[in-house]
Amino acid sequence: MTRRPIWQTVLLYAVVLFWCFIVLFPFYWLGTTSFKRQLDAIRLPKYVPYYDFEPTTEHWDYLINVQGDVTWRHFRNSLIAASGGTGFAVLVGAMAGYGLSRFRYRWPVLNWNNDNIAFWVISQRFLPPALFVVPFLIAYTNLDLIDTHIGLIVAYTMFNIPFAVWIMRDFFNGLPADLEDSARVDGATRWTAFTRIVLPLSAPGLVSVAIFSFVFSWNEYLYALMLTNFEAITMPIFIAGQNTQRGVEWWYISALAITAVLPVVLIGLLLQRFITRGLVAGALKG
Amino acid sequence: MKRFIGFLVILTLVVALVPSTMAQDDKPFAGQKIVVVTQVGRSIGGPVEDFAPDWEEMTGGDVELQQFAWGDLFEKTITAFDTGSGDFDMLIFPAAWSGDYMAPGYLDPAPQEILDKIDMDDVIPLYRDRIIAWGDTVYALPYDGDSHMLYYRKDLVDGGEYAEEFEAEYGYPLAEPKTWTEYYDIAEFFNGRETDMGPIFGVMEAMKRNTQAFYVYFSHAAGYGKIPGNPCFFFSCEDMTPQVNNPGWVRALEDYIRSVDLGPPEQVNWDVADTRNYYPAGMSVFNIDWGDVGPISIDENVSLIKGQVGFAPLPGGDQYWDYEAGEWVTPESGVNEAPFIAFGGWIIGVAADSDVKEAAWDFAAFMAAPEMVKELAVTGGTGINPARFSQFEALDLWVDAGFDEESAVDYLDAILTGINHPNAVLDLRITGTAEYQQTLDVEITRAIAGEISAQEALDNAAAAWDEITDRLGRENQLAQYRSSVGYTGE
Amino acid sequence: MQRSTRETKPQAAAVQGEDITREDRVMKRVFLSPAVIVLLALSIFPLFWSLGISFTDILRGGSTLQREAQSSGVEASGFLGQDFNVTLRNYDRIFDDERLHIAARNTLFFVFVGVTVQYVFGLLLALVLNQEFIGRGIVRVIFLMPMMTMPVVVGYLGRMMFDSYRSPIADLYRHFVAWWEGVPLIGSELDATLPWLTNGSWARGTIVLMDSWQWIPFVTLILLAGMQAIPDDIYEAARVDGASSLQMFWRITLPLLAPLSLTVVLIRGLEIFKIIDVIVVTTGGGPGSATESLTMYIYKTALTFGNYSYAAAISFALLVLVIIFAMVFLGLGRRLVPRGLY
Repeated sequence: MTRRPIWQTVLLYAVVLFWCFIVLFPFYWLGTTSFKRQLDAIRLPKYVPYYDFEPTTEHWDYLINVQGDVTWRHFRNSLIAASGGTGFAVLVGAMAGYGLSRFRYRWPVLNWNNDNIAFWVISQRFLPPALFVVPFLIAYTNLDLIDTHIGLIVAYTMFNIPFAVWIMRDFFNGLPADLEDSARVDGATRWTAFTRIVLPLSAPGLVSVAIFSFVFSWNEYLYALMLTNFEAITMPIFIAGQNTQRGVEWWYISALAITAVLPVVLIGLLLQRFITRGLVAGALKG
Repeated sequence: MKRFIGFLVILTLVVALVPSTMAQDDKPFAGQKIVVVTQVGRSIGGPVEDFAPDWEEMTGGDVELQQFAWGDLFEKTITAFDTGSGDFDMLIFPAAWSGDYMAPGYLDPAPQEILDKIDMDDVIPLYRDRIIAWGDTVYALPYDGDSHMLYYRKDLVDGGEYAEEFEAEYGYPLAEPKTWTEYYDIAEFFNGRETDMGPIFGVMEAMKRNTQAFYVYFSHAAGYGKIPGNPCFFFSCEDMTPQVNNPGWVRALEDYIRSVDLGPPEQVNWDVADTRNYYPAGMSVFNIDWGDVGPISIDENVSLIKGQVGFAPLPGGDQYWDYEAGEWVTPESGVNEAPFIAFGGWIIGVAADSDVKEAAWDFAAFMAAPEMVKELAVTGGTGINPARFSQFEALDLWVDAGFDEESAVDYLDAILTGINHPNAVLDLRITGTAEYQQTLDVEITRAIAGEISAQEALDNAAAAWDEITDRLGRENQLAQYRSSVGYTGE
Repeated sequence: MQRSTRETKPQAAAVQGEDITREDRVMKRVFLSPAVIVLLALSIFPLFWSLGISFTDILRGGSTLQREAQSSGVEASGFLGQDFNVTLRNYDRIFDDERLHIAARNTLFFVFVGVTVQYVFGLLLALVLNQEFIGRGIVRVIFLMPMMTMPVVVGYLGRMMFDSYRSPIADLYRHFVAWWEGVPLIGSELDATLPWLTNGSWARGTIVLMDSWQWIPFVTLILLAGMQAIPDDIYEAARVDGASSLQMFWRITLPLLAPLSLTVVLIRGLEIFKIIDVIVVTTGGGPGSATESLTMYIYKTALTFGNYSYAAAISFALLVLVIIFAMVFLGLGRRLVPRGLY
């Protein structure tokens, strides 16, 4: 590769640094705000702890000790709903992805082949959830599913399946069939070949689908808003609802927001390569 | 001997009975769990959190508090009621939703013995007879009293420093404003002025859409639109014609729009509750709010203006629009005082389908007891404002809480004048109230944003109100509105 | 989005010879059915149900018909003896519901402006990042952070950043104003604050900014992957022919990225159609009606107003917009992208 001119290098680093600053500064602000006293947070901005303002841990204390139960309840709800939705979506998605990759389907009447089916599946992902507000509301009330974890898990499974199918199909397409074939020659059934050979080999794909489903469900707002009342409220609804009679309490919300964002961001940072890979697979082949 | 036997019998009876009755009295609700629903946050719900353990100790019951965001509270509870999916027993809810809660029978009528427990004669008549009742039946216990009032910086307005300059400019002395016209004169005079705490804004009025900000507009409208002696304000009581677009309301909206330029620019994104953080930080001269700012303003952790806040009833209109006659009327006193009982306060009801009604009512009475609410009202951040005579009389409590005596008198007087006023305007409380309010809310915020004129906005709102009325059944709605304002005409 | 469909064929054909076993005939259904059943039950069925509801007068707590019957005391029976009527009033109202039109306009604004901003900046960033530099791994990680953040939190962050008075941005601007006014000749008086979220048109733009902050990295990462997939020898050949960097960008990079770009834009566009959470926590749809999105209006109509049938009707209006958008883009794709690549 030819050496690039110096101005390009400078520009490159400038842009990179600038963008990193734009991304990171709001998080810094979130962090410091959670340690500010009320009067420090609502007048002119204060930037540096100990220099500009005297930090206080009272908001964290309130969040963890005084309101600990409440915080934990919502956190747990999010955890249950998101992991449940993820688990089912990964399972069902992997199966369907495998099916679409290894068999030839032809649906009568519609005359659809594998590609049509796959396209139909992914198109469900892009239907606006607002379409389902009314039917879900009526159906869930009649089935007594409003405000239950199961209700949310069902909705999230539905919501995550298309993406899971899409990515997994792509993954299986890239996985040679030889291994399964030889296993089947040795007498393994399709199912054992799938569970014993194909799934372990596709672990990276499964992980990236799982991360995506989890993050989507964790951050999801509209379904949670309409399908939960008290017991099953998840973090996003809880945070969005922090507009209390004392107004938007930035200091407390900041602490809460950090609690909500941290797990997902940590997952993202640790499993970064799976995410990039999933994203690219999803879009490149999409 | 006979006597001795008799004594013995009585003694055994006593000995035998006492422990059992004691045990019963001691923990009458052992093992019963009541679920209490209210809004998120320390205010309103906070006291339940704090005092439930006492009640649990006394009765053996178990209280679980479920809190919702203000913006979701109505949707969540009404959906739960409507579909029978709610498993809550006691609600602390805004009186404005009575039409949606009480009219369909979702709430349990309050038992007389519970009402006896909480000394109903002590309650301000307006609350006792109207706010907690639907028709003649009482469905709820009074918990919090609410009406909008005016806060002003008395160090600026009452102090002499600016008096001369103001009088020279406007031709009358600078004092607590009695009419909206005076209010805007003063706001204009101070807006942008440099004070010892930096530049100050004139007003601070909540304007954010989809919040409680529209109550502020109602407060403006009451002075111009309420006809003394006629209880009907939102609709005409003859045929449910919306009054929102009559000239009185339009003038009020034009006023409200004026406030945009006389206050902090960010106020269009503030709810009433947000102003409670900014006003005590000394940002503006005026603030319109419920009683909450009073106790907050004396809390030095959050307030820079302790002791510098003046309290007043809402300004009135210097004239009002008589919709029956179709003309502007100037009252003899020069002011049409019409305090708006915005919201009507948080009240406590018990769900009709609760399994533990008795326990729930007992806890409700515990929370609504005169001694309890008296204590809560003087504590900043509880969201509880006075609704009982005893709260207004207990001056020493307010002083103990940190008010100076003059401020306490001023504060209590401002509230009492509001809620005890013969021309006070009750909040809308019929089926569909939330929708009426929110359709109006959208239109007024559009007018504020300058998308449409005040007249257009209110015409749209009136059309929308008619559509809602028709959809919910006009006759039904009319009957409800009449009974909710106590209309007895014809 | 359709492109892939062709690639998979050889693989599929290779696996399923003519001699498909009986076991496989069963298993192929077992593998696909769960997903299809879930989607049919939870997506397709509700869709048609919702369509049905949109033609009735069903409200929360009973239809208009029931309410009228209740107040008049006369037993009424509507459509096929059911307790509701079939009516076109919801679709009728769609055409003169101004609030709906405004919400639709806002949504389209978010979609088109948002997509443009995100694509342009995403592409520029990708171009810059498509070079060797120290700390690349870290930067990639940092890029992922906004995408992982809850949109609700993004909204709160946005409100803190764009407050016209107490935010760092406002502070920066104040210093800028003070400096600018001191500049000789061109310096002039400026407004003391910028109405980021307090003026209708500004607020619409600010919402787009927040959404972009979150999703530009997504566009960047995907375009970056696409660029890295372009073989180096194409560039080498061009360089030998004496092409400038700019020419290479226009002639090679951009056309080769076209299919990927369309996909990214389509995905982002469809996602922005669903926007609600960021708006709810920032402006609540205000100032005025400047930022209310369709999804928000549908939610309000259904849950606050309890007008189920109308909510269903407007959700179909939204669907129509979404379909038109997708069709236009897919059609555009067919036209713009060179045949061989599509």
